[in-house]
Amino acid sequence: MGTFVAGYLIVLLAVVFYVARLGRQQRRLQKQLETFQAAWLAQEDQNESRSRAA
Amino acid sequence: MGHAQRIVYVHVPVAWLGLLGFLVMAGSGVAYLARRDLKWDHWFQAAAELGWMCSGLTLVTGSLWAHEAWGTWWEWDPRLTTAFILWAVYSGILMVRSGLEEPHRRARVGAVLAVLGGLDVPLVVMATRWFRGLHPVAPEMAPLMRITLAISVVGFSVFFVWLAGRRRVQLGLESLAAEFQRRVEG
Repeated sequence: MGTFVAGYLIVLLAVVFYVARLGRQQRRLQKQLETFQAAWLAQEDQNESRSRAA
Repeated sequence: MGHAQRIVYVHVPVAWLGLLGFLVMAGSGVAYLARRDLKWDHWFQAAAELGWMCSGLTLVTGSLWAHEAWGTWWEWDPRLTTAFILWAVYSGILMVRSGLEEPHRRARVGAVLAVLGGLDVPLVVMATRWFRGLHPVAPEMAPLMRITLAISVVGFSVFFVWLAGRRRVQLGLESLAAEFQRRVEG
């Protein structure tokens, strides 16, 4: 009984770790994209104020 | 064997997915070499990660089963040895790729290694037929067991293909983000 439960648990844990890793990478990617978006919006604002000043 | 035979319902699906992962990886490698399009490399990486995991799980669950059936954790049986070589090839490819920064070089090296390593796949499949060993060839199963195993194989396959698809999309976005950062910094 113990052997087959151990086998199932090992497979389950491996899948849980992989999915958790996917989730972590997804959150990191989202933060990175948000930083890019903020930088892009700041650049747009700067360009707009420059063109107004000109 | 008692309850221990139930390991077959996870051992067979992960073994199948370990082999399928390698075939997808080698196929994506060939497609990359032909088209030089990095989207194939994203499939390659997704299949490599999941295939490596399934290949490792095949060895672990197989070892647990062997302990119950043969009284030993490991035997250098032809099927076990070729399966171990497959896992070692997966590990080697992932390690080599992780050391390469330039995406096209990484894709090219990975593709060549996967095509060469793919030669082990028919050996793993045919090992029990071509060579004499301990691993069962195609054991007799009651109809209910056969149906349960089929459901398990289909279920695992659908879930892992879905996971591979998610990972591929993620790799594509990571590649876009890296490209954007290069342009901004450059």
